[in-house]
Amino acid sequence: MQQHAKKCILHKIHINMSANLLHDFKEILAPYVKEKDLLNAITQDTHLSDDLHINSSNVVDIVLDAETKYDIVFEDDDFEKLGTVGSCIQIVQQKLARK
Amino acid sequence: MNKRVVITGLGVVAPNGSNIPAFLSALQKGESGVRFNSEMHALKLGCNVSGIPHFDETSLAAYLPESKLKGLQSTNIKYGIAAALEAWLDAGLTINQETTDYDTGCIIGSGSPDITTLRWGINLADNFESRKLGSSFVEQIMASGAAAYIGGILGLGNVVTANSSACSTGTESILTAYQKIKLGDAKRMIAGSCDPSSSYTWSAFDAIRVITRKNNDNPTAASRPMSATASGFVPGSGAGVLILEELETAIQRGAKIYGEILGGAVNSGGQREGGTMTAPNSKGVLKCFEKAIESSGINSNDVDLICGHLTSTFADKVEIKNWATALGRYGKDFPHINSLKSMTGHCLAATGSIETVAAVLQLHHHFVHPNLNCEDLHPEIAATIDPACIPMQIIKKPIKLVMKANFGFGDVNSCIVIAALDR
Repeated sequence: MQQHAKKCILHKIHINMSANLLHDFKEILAPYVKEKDLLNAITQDTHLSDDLHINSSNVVDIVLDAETKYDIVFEDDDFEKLGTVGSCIQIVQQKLARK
Repeated sequence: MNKRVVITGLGVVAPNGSNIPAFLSALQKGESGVRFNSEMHALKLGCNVSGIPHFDETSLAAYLPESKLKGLQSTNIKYGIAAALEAWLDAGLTINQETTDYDTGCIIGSGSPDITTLRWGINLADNFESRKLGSSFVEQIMASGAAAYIGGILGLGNVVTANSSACSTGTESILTAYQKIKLGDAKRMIAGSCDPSSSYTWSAFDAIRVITRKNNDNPTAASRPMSATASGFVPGSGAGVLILEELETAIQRGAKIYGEILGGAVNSGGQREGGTMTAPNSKGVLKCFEKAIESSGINSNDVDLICGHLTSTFADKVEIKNWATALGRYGKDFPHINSLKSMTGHCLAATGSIETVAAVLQLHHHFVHPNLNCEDLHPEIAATIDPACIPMQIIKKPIKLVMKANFGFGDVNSCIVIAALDR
């Protein structure tokens, strides 16, 4: 019972964290999104270049901003995984968990 | 093809005025923008004064998205963009976000990238943190940075490039742009130059002892072109930009016309016959003046005003002699002459364009701006031309024909001839 409750709590924290991170990422991405109204409908599946039209050269800036905000470091492998907002959030979550 | 080329817009970021209205007012009142520089003092340089524009950092938000503004730290590029946009809007032109304008190009020169920005990048690299350079470092340190930013903001589709010839850069940029239009390669050109506010650049001049160490306690007296007590120039920074257009296009769209570029010349003294990396070969200077006069088809007796290079060094008296010789005018017969550097210091690669903007303003508004700090005129200058030719107060008179010249390290020279359209 305790294990289950623990799992539920952790799951709730995870969802809250996801929601917070989604909100954070809206702010991190904002300077690099030309059409600001595109940010309103942002979800985990929103694609950085296809949906938000973010210039590929700005991906490095987004990574630097995220690294500064969360005090984490992105590795070379991580850069290849940055397609959707969800994939960015997942990487941040993984790194925060390891701290 | 031999098109006539006119000036339809002006923009400036200068030590004594960060836009045209402020600059014009400062010119007319003889206001200096030279101030004590605490950074130069902290670096223990011999010279502790400079001319740095008061720049409104928020002014670029109207033209650049936040993503570009975030990383933009190079001062020369900021000044260049501000001056170019002021000139563009002054010319009554609009910004088309959708299409490229293949008839308009730009040549925006710079002496170097902003060394302070370079230092930031080098420190990161040396710390094995070069990944933190971000996406805008390359475009700020490349020599054509300012031109590229301006080309992108305005959607320019003709040549988008930078020139560089040290202190001759600004005037050379305008002449190169003039030639493009004259030959029919472009209908309109944005021409000018910018130079950064960086104590690191200026420390290099301090090391060869060409910037003044004698007036750190009296900054506005430090820049003294033509004075007997001139002891080196005052370093400065900023940007000057002109919109040049073929006459037909300007008339067709009802543009305001400041004046016409009649001609000019760019050459070098070859660092021979007395010329060195840092000192001019007078024969080369004379050839430049002669070619400028010849290509403009003017009579040297008709020149109303000379806006000199005149830096506040030993070279000033040589320059005066060269002007007098080239024009064949001495004593009281010499035209009025002034040096903007007495108010701004020497803005290096930006100086030619800022000073040409000043020349055009004097042509358009009918005045000769005063020379500061030359009450003790150098005796050799007083022996060549009448002191009354060097006004220390504003003179209001019609100006129909101006000659502007600049000389740079590398023994390079440029001279441009500008006239009122109704001359």
